[in-house]
Formats: sequence, structure tokens, C-alpha cells
Amino acid sequence: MWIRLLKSLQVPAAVLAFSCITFGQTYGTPGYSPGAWKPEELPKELSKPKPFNPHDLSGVWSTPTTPGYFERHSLDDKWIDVKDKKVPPQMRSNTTPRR
Amino acid sequence: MTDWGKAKFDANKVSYGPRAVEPELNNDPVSQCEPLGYPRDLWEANLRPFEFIQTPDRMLQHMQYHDVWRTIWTDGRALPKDPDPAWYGYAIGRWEGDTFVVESIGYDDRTWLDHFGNPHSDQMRLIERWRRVDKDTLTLDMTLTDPKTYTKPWVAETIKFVNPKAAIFEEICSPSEEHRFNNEIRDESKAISKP
Repeated sequence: MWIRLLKSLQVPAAVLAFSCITFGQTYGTPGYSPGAWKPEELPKELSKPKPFNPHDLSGVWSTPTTPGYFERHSLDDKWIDVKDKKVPPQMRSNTTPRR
Repeated sequence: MTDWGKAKFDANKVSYGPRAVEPELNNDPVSQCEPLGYPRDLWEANLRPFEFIQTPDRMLQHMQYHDVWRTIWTDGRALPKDPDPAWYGYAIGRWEGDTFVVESIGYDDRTWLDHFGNPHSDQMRLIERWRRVDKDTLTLDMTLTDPKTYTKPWVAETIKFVNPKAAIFEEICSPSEEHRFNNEIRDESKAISKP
């Protein structure tokens, strides 16, 4: 049973263990698309800043992934304070429609 | 929530939050590679960004997951009168000062609003107010109206998006890979939790 459990956790554990490294190398590198062009292969002009225009929404957008940031998973999403530390993080948030 | 909405909510078996069931018992459409739909796709933006591309007559919202393209028409057309339901609905947009206002309808009610199983019907109407507050920050205020599901409009808290300075990359939900994941990880949990 334990061998089966450990085997099933190998892949997720590896993904979690290396996710910081992976995203540290990809997100934050201007114009870099994982598995495709390396930063040094891109035209230098791409890294030049463009003037700010509030009517230009173009670009790639994501929600912050800084450590400790509570990720939004719905229109509203509330952190539930669960005393039991064994409860995994994905069980600690919930959303309820406003009435 | 209306009685119709509550019944649908109760039928949705989720993998997150206090209503979570064991992994192999969930019926989240995403577990079968079904489309996330909108606005649920937005909540994926912590790991799966989206991209806005502006053209003279439309705004394209390119979602990384499933490589989905949502079209927001800006050519002056009105919303369709009686559209066939669509996974990503039908959207029109206009500028009000520095705010890009998007109205949309015609959503397929097979999608969930979020991974907590909150439902919506084909009467869902979204109003999104997008603002680029500075070079690297975008904010969104969204109001969901769906009288078949919710007794009052659902006004979301402001959502902040940042520019990750990265490109969208291919991330397709492959049914065969999802099936393998279900067999080897999700269904495996049944044997672990019930020895």
C-alpha cells in the first residue's frame, strides 16, 4: 500500500519541487516561451519599453504568483481558517455567492 | 441562489473547498478535458496566462489553456438576440473613458463558474470593466447577472493582473493524457483512501 502511495505521489512531488525553478526561468524573461525561442534568439527591439497607453490592453496577463499570495479561484474566494494543519491548502478556500 | 441553482450546485461534485469529494468521485467537466468556459478560464491565470490582442474591429482574448480564442467585437454591433449557447459566449466591447467595458451573453450552461462547482445558466450575463492602470497592471471588475441561478447580481471583487513578461505557450488538454492521469492518479486515490 505504501509503495503504491509513494509511486502515485512521485510525479506531483517532482512537479512541485521543480515548479519554482521552472517558472523562475520562464516567467519574468521578456518574450520567452518555454520550449521555444530562447531570450538570446529574440530581436533586441522586443525588450525596448513601449510608451504607456491606457487604451492599449494588448499583452500577456496573469495573476501574481508570489509566495504566500492567495490565489483567486472564483468571483470571490475566501480563505478558511482551519486549525487542523493536516487539511491540504486546496480545501482551505471557498466561495459563496453574495445574496 | 434560486432553487434551480441550488439543485445544480448540489449536483456538482468538486475537488476543492469544504465540499470536496474524493478525487475519483468528482464530476468536474475539466476532469474530462471539457472546456473551462468563461469566466472560469480567468481563474487559471495564476499559472496559465491569457493574452489580449487588439485589432480595429475586435479584441481577441487568447487563453493559454486549450488554446482558446474569445472574440470581443468592437465594431459597433449589438449583442445577438437569441444566440445558440457557446462555451465562451458572445461578447461586445466599447471604451468608456479609460475603461474597456465588455458585455456578454449566450453561455453554455455545461461549464462551471469555478472549481467550487458554482453553476450558471444560459441566461448568464457578464459585464466586465477592464482598466490598464499602469504599464504592467490590469484590473477587472466583473458583475454576473443570472436570474435563473442567482437571486441577485454577483459583484466580484476587483481582480488584478500583471504582465509576466512571457509569451503564451501551447498547453492543450489532451483527452488521452487526461485519461491516463485519471487512471494513474485520480482513480489510484480510491485504492489509497479505501484499503
